[in-house]
Amino acid sequence: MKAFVFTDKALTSVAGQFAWLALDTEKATNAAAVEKYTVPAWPSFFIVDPQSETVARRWTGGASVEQLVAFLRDGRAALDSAAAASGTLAAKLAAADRLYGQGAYPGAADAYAAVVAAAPAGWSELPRVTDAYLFSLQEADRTEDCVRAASELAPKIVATASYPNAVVTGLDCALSLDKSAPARAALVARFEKDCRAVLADPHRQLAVDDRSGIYQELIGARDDAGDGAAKKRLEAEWVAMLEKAAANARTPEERTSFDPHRISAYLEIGQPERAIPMLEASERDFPQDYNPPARLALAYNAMKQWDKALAASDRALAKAYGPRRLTILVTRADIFAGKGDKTGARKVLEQAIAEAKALPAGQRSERTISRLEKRLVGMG
Amino acid sequence: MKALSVIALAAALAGPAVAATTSPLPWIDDDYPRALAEARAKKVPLFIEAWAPW
Repeated sequence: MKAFVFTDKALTSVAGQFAWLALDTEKATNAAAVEKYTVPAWPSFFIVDPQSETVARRWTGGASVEQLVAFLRDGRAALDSAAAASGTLAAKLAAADRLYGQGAYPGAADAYAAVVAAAPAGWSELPRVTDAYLFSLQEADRTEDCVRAASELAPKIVATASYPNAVVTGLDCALSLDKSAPARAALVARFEKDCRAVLADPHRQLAVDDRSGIYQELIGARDDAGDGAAKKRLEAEWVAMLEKAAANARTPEERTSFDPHRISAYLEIGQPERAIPMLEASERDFPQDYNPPARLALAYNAMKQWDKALAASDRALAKAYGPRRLTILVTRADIFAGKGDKTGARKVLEQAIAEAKALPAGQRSERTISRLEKRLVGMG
Repeated sequence: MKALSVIALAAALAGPAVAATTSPLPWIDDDYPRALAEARAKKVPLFIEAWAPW
C-alpha cells in the first residue's frame, strides 16, 4: 500500500477531506490508540467520526486506488447519513458496519446478510459489503455460510476489484468444509476455476500480492486433492510471477515489497537458498529494517546453516520492536532446537514469554502467550 | 488459513515505509491525539491506517 497506492496522485483530490493518521501498531507508544480500534489484519483502514471516536467504516487488507477512493467516498457518506431512518438499507448498512468496525463478527455477519437481502440489483456498495460480509463469516467460523455467500455474491460483482477476493475466499471456505460434505468437491472445483480465470484474465488489474495470494490458495487446493503434478506447476508459475515482478520493480521499496511473498514461495518449494541474494540486497538497501535479517534467519534455518541463521537473528533482534520480536524469537528457538541446543531453545522461548507478557494492552495477546507456553512445555 | 487474510496480509507485508514526502496525503505519523485534534479542528473525518513494518 505504501509503495503503490498511497503514492498515487489520484489521491491528491481527497487530501483535504480527512485528517490522515498512520499508526505503526508495533510501537508501544501507539498501543492505547490501537486498543480503541479492532485491527484483525494488516493493514486495516478506519474512517472515524472525530467527535465520538466511533468507526464509520473499516477496511481490512490491501486495496487498490479505486477501492480506496470508493471507501473514502462511502465513509464520508456514512458519516453524513448517520441518522438514517431505521429500517432503511442505509440504517441496516450502518449497523452492520458498526459491528464490523467493533470486530463483533457473528453479529456483523447476520447484519450484512440482512443488508445483502435488502440490496437492490446493481447496488454500488455490494462489492465492499461482500468483502466485509465474507470476512465476518470467516472470522465467525461459519464455513458453510461463507461458501453459500461467496457462491451467491461473486457472480454479482465480477467486473469489480472485489471479485478476486470473493472467489479466493470462496475457495478457502470450500476447502475448509468437512471432507465428507457431499458438495465439497464440486464447490472447490468451481472456485478453483474462478480463481484460475482471474489469474488468466489479461484485462483484470490485480496487484502482485493479490495474485500471489491466489496462487497460494490454488496450490493449497491441488495439495488437498493430492495432485502433486499440478501443485508443482502452480508453484513454478507463482515463483516466476514474483521474480518477474521483482525484476520489474522501479525502486528498492517496490522490489522489497515482494520479499515476504518470495520467501514464502522459496520455502514452500524447498529452495530457501534462492531467497538469500534478494534478502542480502534488501538488508543493504534498508539497513534499519529488521525484516531482511529476520527473513534471512528463516532461510538459513531452513538451510540448516545454524550459525548464519543465528547471526541474522541477532541483527534482526537488535532492530526489532513490539510484538514482531516474538516471531523472531520463535524462529531463534527453532534454530537452537535445530542445532540440537535444547537449553538454548528453552531460554529463548522463556525470553519470548517474558516479552509477550510485558507488552502493553493493545499489543498483548493472551493467545500468543498461551501458544508460547504450550510450546515451552512441549519441549520437555 | 483465511483467504482474505492471504490477500490482505500479503498486501500488508509491504516492506519498509515509504517516506511521507512520496505520498500526496499529509500524513501524521504515530500521533493519535494530534490527528484527532486536527480532524476536530478541520471538521473532517479521521482516516487511520493501522500498519506494521513487516
